[in-house]
Amino acid sequence: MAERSDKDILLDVKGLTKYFPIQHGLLRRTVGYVRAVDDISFYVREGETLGLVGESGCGKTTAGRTIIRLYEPTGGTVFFKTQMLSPDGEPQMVNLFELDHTQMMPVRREISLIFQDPVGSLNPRMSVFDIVAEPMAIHGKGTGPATEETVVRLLDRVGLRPEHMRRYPHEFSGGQRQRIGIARALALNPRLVICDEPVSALDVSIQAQTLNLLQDLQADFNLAYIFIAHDLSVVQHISDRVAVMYVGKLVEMADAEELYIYPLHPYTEALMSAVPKPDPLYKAERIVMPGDVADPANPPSGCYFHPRCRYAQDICREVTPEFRQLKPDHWAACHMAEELQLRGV
Amino acid sequence: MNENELLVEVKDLKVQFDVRDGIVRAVDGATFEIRRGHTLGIIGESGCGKSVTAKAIMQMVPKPGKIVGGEVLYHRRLKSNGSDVTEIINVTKLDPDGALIRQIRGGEIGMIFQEPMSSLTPVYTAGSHIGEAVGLHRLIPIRKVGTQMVETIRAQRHVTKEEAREIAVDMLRRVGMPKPEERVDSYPHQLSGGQRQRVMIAIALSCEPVMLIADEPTTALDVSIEAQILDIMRELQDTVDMAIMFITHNLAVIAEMAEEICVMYMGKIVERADVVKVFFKPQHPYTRELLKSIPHVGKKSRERLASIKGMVPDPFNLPSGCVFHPRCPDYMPGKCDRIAPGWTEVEEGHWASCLLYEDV
Repeated sequence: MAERSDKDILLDVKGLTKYFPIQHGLLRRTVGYVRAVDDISFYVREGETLGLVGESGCGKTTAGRTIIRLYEPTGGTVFFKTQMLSPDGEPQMVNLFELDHTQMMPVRREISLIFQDPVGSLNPRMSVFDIVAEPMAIHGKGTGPATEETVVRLLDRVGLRPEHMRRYPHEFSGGQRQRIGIARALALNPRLVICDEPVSALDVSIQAQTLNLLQDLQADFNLAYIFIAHDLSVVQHISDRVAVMYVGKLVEMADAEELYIYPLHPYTEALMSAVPKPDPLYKAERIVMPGDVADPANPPSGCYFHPRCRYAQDICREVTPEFRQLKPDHWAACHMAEELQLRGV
Repeated sequence: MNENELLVEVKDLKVQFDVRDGIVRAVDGATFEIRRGHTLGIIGESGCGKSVTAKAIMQMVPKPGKIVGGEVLYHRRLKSNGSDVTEIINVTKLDPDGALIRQIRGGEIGMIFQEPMSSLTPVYTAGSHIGEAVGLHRLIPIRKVGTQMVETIRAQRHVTKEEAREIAVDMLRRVGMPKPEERVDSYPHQLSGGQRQRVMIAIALSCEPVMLIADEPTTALDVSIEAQILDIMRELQDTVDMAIMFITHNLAVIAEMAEEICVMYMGKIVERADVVKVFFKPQHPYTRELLKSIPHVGKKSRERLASIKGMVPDPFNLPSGCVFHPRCPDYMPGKCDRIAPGWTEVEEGHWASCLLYEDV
């Protein structure tokens, strides 16, 4: 979908699909599939942040994890611009889904992950030094004095002190633990960091510190982020572009400001209208979405959103809308997109 | 304030937790009032004492916590010979297991907590004296929603099983539950998170409370479900004239729900005023910093967020003087680190606990 000539594209995802089998009975026969991620396409440019939003269960986390093959994909391609596979470090676009294990290993150094739960994602039996140095050890960068230097430098960069290196995760607050997770993610000089709800578990004042840190690091190291979150104000703040997911599908993707102010998909519009604002004089006019989020194992016909959409027509019940570019860099999957005048925040 | 409007007065409330590592002053001198039919918001970060304050009002502070000072006066209105009589009860003096507090807790004062089944921190330990209240205010997974509602209703109101079931179905309908006649026979795990929270609201409201304590009721929910729950709470409040004590860390949610706000930091209320004043003319540096540190949706800028420097202090080792001074941008050396601020009415009805407003 992205212009292949676009030199800045770091990650180009096309038709990404991940189904989880539903198994039943003694023989674990597969009786159906949960369509966690269902044919989604997007791209990330170098040094930019793509926000990925949607309600719980929409598949945003699965999408992030399938890209780096923590889950084996059901279908699609993920082209990533890697410098690891050519002898002279020349960047080349490779399809991650076609690499074997030995080829994937070096590429993994360029893509790292930050998780939501700063408690569960750090091994309590490992010291901070071991946690931060582990990726380097795995990728054969040794454990000599140079490693210690690197760890000190990384800790310093995320605002922790060298003496913290010998301590264990339980000695730190939630915000500090998230910093340890960030230091670990940066250990191998990645070019893309997939941040899965990195600030959701943090207090308001700590959340701001962490968001600022992520922005500083991005500027310093030219990092690209896929920022997965459900808090729409946080996503708007940090993202250059935002993609909205609903029941395993992308429904809209655009420049952050454009998407929030001029949404083209009714789901985006309804979601925006629900965001509470820190303004006591603001009177919300909410769009009520009737019913519940569709079941990804048994999605409705046509557009998955049609049973809850207030603009739904016959075509929406029958035909699956195509994810198409309606304005420059503004994509949406809605039959009615041209006719509707939707309201932003 | 009209004396008649007063529902709960909290005066210099102090709650301590005596644990192995020392004493935590979870609530340290909280003073505020809740008026009939109005909404008071309590805002603060984790560990600031907002939930403990709510539990103290119900005389259900979990062990090893203890109310060590102050009082909670509940103005209980009773019908006697057709006229209203107001009786003032000091809740802190009641036996936590006594008949009177059990009647108030869960009946006259309802409670809803963070999403009742997916909540990560189990606030209660088994066998604590509030076990009975847990039964009333947490959904038990293995029993039908309707059965649990009927029991709660019958514990508080003198009705038959059939009548209680009718009330239950009616309440489910009022909180916007689709197909209430069917859903009343479902088990909690068959419902979505938003639906379970609706059930909790329905249970709390079925006892016709004069006040609802809502502790982070929408924190675990998606934004569209959160919006629905907030709408339901507001609509119901209009129809039944009920006070709400709304506790949250979310500034946007509190702006929408509360009429009056208390801002808490490390067990102390640092600012108290009506919601518009708190948001547009915050007086305490902590409130100001907090408001600056949140991103505003719609107002796009690539600017950095203002963040409060440092971290929340160790509760066993609180800073001297004003507890906020190590993080405060207006820190006055020699004063803030030595003198604990009192209360100043900066403007009419707008209180702050900060030395900026004191002659020291």
